[in-house]
Amino acid sequence: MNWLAEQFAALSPAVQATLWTVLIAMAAATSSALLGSYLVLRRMGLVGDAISHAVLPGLVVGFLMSGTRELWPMLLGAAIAGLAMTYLAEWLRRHAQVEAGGALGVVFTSFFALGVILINLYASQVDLDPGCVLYGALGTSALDTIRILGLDVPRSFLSLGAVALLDLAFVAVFWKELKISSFDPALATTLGISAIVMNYLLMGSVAVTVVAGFEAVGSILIIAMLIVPGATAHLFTDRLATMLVTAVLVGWIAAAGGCLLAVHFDTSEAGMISVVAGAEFALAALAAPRYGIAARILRGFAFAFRIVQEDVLARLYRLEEGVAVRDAGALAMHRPAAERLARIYLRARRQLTRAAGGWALTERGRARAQALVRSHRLWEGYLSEQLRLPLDHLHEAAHRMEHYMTPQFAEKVEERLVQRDADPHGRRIPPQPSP
Amino acid sequence: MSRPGDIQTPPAVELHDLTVAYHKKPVLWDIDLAIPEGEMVGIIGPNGAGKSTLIKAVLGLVPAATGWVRVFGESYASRRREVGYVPQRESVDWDFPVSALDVVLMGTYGRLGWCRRPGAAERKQALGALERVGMQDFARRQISQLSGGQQQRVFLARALAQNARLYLMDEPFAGVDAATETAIVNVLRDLKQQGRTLLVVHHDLQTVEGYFDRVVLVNLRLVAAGPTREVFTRDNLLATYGGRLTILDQAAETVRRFEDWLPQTGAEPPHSAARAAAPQRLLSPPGAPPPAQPQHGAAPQAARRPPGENHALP
Amino acid sequence: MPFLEYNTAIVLGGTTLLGFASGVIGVLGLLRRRALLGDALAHATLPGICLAFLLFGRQFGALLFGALVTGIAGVALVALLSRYTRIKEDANIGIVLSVFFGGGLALSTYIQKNSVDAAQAGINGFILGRTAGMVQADLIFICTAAVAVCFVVLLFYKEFKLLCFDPDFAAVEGWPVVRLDFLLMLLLAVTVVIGLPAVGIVLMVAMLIVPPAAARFWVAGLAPMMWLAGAFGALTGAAGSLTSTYAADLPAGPVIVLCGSALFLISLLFAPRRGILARARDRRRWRKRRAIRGFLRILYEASEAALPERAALPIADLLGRFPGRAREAEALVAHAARAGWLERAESEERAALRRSAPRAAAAAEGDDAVRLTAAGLQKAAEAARIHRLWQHYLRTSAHIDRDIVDPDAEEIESILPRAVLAQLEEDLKNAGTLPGGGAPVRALAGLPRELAT
Repeated sequence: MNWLAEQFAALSPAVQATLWTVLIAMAAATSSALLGSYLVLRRMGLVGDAISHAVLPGLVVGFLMSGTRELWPMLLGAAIAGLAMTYLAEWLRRHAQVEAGGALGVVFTSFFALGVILINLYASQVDLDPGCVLYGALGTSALDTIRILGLDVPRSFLSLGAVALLDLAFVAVFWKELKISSFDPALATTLGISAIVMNYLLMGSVAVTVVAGFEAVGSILIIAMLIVPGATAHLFTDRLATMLVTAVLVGWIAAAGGCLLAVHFDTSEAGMISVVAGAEFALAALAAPRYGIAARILRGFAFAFRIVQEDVLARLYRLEEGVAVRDAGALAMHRPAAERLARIYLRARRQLTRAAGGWALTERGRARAQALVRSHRLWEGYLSEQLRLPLDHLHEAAHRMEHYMTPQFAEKVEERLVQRDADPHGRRIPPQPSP
Repeated sequence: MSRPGDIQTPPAVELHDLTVAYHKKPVLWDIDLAIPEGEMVGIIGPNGAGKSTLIKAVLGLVPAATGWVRVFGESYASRRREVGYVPQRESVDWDFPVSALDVVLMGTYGRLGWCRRPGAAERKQALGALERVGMQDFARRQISQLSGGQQQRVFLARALAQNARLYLMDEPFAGVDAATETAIVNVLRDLKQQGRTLLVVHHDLQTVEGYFDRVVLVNLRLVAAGPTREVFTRDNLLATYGGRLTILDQAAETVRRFEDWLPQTGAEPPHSAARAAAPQRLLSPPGAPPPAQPQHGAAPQAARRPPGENHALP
Repeated sequence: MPFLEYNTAIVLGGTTLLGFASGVIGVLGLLRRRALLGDALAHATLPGICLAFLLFGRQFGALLFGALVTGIAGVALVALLSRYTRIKEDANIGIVLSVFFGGGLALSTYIQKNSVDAAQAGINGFILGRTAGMVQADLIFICTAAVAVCFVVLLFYKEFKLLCFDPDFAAVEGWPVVRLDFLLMLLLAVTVVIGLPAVGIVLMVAMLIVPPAAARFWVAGLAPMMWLAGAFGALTGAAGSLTSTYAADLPAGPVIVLCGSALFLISLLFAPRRGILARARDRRRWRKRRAIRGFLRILYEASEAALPERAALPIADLLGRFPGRAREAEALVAHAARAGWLERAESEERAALRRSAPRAAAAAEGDDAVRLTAAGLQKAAEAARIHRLWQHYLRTSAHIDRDIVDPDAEEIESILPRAVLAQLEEDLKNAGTLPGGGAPVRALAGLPRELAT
């Protein structure tokens, strides 16, 4: 610890300030990413936005009443204002029949306007600067330090760190409750976990977090720290724990990257943090392995290519059987280039070989084709027996379904069939090829 | 099913091998059905059987994954002026600031075209429609002040104002009072008398035989369709209500799981069975139009189906 | 010095017209449930303003055009993200809002630090609104755009009405729902952009939401709602800009929004029918009517055995039959007495007591029993009749409208067909439980022709 402190003290003041800025931003990112993930999952992104605006009057009143820049009165005021906003919007929706979005909009803009006016009215008495509240003042808050353990630690780092720990404790203690009430509020309530109480606890924590984050990024951009990391993480994973960790990491990268870029371009830290967060989200939306757009498009192509391959194989199989000339003709529907590509690929995979005057199936190719033809004919049998579709309506539907059918599913279909050895056209249903 | 001889009068609604998917999961499989003109037809099936989806697919609100729909022998788009629609009551916000008359007037908008406001003639027609459902005294009421049954009658009046040849109705009897039910049934019978075709999603088995000449029994697939007295039998009802076909559920799940991975594209609501359905299309150039008609749709109609098949309404 | 200086008049005119346009278009936004998309739209304009400033300098038109471009891009991005990723719309609105605004903020800080002229005044005014800087050219610009927006709404009034009420039906009827939605979004964007100089980015969404939400309390039609929202918006804009003119250190946006909030609050409280005071009053009256009906029924049931003689009903006995609290029952007795339904009577015990011990009886204060008057009996019989008909109907009929519980006389007759009512009465008469000796079913209103046979 001492060694670290010495190393730190040896740095130039400018670098020290930058480092502190980064650390403050990261502390803010930690708590907001944690709670923001829940907001994303509960589809309450807009509530987060509304709260971040609505806490303003509470903060100002807390500040005016205590007369100091102490954090706790402001946090208390803000939490009250945030909860009041949530409650009022809900009340308007239920009892005054104002549409949910509209109710939120009416209440949070009113609260925010009130806050701005309060600041302006008492601007002379307080050193709350509207600009600071709106856009944050990371750079300056790094300079307001107190000495702890021989180190000049910024106050806001301490307060943000405390809030981050508080949020972490909140999530850890109420892990189960939060999870179940986010997933299924009705179930939670029947299990004795009041979804309403959990909701207000969460909203209260969001309000506190938002206020703590004000200093770092300001009231407008705290929403970037709340929502963007959670949403980004949601593109990567389906597991809650992984999602929270990922969100925090995303938040840290945004915080650190944003601060450093802001120093580099000599511009607003808050702005750059949201830009970096946005870039992370864009990257994830495009390139996330499972839910990214690029991955989906690639999978689409791969799927289409697989279908071409399978159709090529199945056609050859039917030709070998010598029974399905009509089918074979009907199947030659892919573009020649695609089929050529598929044949080249299949040859490389040793499923096709060159034969006299054309192509032939290898053992491996035949096994794959056999499974496919089997699925096709089983599904035809199923459609005919259970859905009582006429004979000439079977082929198209089965030709579609064969590409989706796993061996296990084919077996289940087979169990349901009365006639298992031949399809409704009388063609043999081949057995599942041995692997 | 129409015989080769009566090509001149195409069925009011014809579904050919229609598969429909919601959120990527097929909910109707290979429906093949023809509804002759001038009949009152009930669509019957358990909850979640795809009854409403069937109607929505006819209207093009849910795109068909495969197969096609014809209305009076043509595409729905070219015949939409002849089709009236009564959606489920829950589908709109009844707190919306309009009066009952306003809602009924919406039935005339289609004929009016862009920017023209409904005039005296449309008003008269709308009031007439309200009177037919016994709601003339409520024309000026804001719709939130109507009871559920009255709201349903307003929806029916809107469809009447459309003055259509074919009416598609989604659960018009759900949650209405006795007076409304009687009123609606009488109006529907009137319409039938005038030679209109009615396709009605219905959930109350008690009243099926009293209301409908023909029924379509649906549960993920078409179970049976035809004259009520022939088709509305114990066996068919057992097949419709006696548990779902688990294989179809599993198949839908396999398709969905697979399709989840694929990109969502197109102007239509993303749904993928469409590409599952026509995998060939994936590799064809994006601009290439899909074949206007499935290749065997052109085949002589009689050849498509063995006689005595009960999917069709003979 | 005239009351309004020239510049103040300009600002006043601009904010008034702007308020009107945003009220009108806001109605459609609110009814289409796109209220908060306006927030994303407004925030997404900031980078456009900054970029336009960097490219073209301080030209009002250019700044607004830049705002329009990125604003629409932001909304389009929300739509695209909602469609092509798994992230839901609410989060996408938050993402676009904060990232675009953050980018704008970074740009504007950059401009502020690197630009030679006093540029930040031009851009920062857009964030919280600064009406004071408006000049005549700006005003003409705003007015033209506002009038254009209102004109387009007028032109496509019918189409927008259908789109907002029942988009599925619109699609079935062949209206291009997506394109209409886009047009609506474009109108919202134009309104937001011309509102920015006056109200500011952060609070512009309030101009789109608050006046329509307030107007909804007063009127029940779409056109009246638009006019009223427009008027509220105009009033808000005018009041706000006047206030901020005479209290120059206040930013215009928040003042305008607070004026709107005050209007909303007044509407919420005092609007007839939908206002909460009116609702509370209606609820109270309904409860009271219901309680009276229930009490009349109890009176009838208590008297029923002795009919046609009107029996004296001991008050203690009535209180015992009443399901609620004794105080309510006493109030109901008093009410019924005032209405002339009850007259004073003497219970048999008291009468016996009077006969045997007159002095003790006189010592007991007041009356201990009441009796239905002739008018009261009629009322009570009617209440009991309706109640029994309904109960009988519930028992015998399988399906009823879920919305109706415990109807009163008018309701039951508009709910049930005359034939059904007659059958119910017949049943009760046969069972000997039909109160009022089978009063004829009143003429039925609002019933289908087919039923009134």
